[in-house]
Amino acid sequence: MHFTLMLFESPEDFNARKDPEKQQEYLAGWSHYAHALREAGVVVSGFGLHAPETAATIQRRDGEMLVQDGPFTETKEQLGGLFVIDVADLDTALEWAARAPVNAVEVRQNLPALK
Amino acid sequence: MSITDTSFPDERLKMLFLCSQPEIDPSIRTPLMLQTVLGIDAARIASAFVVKPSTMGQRLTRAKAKIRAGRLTFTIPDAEELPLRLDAVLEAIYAVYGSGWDDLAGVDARRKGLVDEAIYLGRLLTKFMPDEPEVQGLLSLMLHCEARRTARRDDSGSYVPLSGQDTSRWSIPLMMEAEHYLHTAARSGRLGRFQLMAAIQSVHSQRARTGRTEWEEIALLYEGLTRLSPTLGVLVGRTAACAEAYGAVEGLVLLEAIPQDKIVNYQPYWALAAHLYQKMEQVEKARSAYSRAIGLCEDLSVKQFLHQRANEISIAK
Repeated sequence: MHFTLMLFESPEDFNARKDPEKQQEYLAGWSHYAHALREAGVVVSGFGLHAPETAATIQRRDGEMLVQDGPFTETKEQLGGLFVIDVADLDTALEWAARAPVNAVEVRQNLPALK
Repeated sequence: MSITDTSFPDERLKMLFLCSQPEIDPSIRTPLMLQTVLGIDAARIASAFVVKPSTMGQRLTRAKAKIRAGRLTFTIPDAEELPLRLDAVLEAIYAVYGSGWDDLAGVDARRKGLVDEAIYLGRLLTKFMPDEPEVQGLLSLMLHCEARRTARRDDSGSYVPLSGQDTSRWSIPLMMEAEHYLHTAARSGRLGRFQLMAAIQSVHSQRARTGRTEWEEIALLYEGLTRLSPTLGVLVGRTAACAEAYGAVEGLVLLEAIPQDKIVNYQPYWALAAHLYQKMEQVEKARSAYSRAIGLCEDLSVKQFLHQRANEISIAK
């Protein structure tokens, strides 16, 4: 079963990406997590995302297309990256989510690919 | 009072045995016990076991339906059946304790409470089954671990491994109580795995008086435990003890003999592997093992601790 782990990062996490003093520790956390996932043989795909302020969001309202700078929702925690993993069940997917170096992870099962 | 000569006077005790019947799937016994004996809600149980709350709710409902449909009732296990049934009860109580103990930071009040509840169940069981040494063994084990709870973090909140703990922060009354139950159990002359695990913790606790850890004694107790119950946790614990007692070379031999297909996701294995490779100055293997130990770790303060250890390799080289 394929599950997507949506990894939400805090403003501190996003700042750590650019901060020369915290950058190394931040990156190490992710590379250790990815290492453990890869060695377990469960990774289908995975990647990080550029910071939310770099996002462009389009929304249609009453048929009109609006483009705005920034993420869709202005919440404190923002999507920072994704892992798609192939595991036996949701329990196992949650186990992996609990090991991620972030404080919030949303886990959902993937739908089958479109034909 | 022995178990066979009277009906169980306590309803909760009855429920403990009912939840641990062979018809009930072992993986749901502990959650079922938490709900029916202690009245803990499914959402909280789900968090403690990292399971989706609606899934946990369904599993509990199914297990209870099975009890009803199968007309499973509480039956007093006879002398032949008792050890097996009791073991399932003890296992489930130990799992309650473990799920609370894993919350190292102690920040999650909902999980920390489980530790107290496990000890409560252990006390309840010793009260009604005073002639069962394994019941006392389990209680002794939990009390020994509990005695060191606050010492697992320093003043700044960082994780402190057992070997680095300040023994003046260990609770003397809890250690004494743990020793009392272990001695009572030993008088029965019937050894079991919970007594052995408690005995290992008892040796560790002696450091509070003597200032040193008798690793050879611990390694010997692990040998016995490996024969009785060779779980992955026991194999890793035994390897760590032997490495301390007889050296990292001996430790690595045992480490590499652990079935490799089982340890893919087992964090304690990788933490120990990293430590032993580091001691043997096998730098690349140590680095890789630290990385996996950190990647598999759920606790932020333990992650932090392992990061520091891993950085020591970079500094040394």
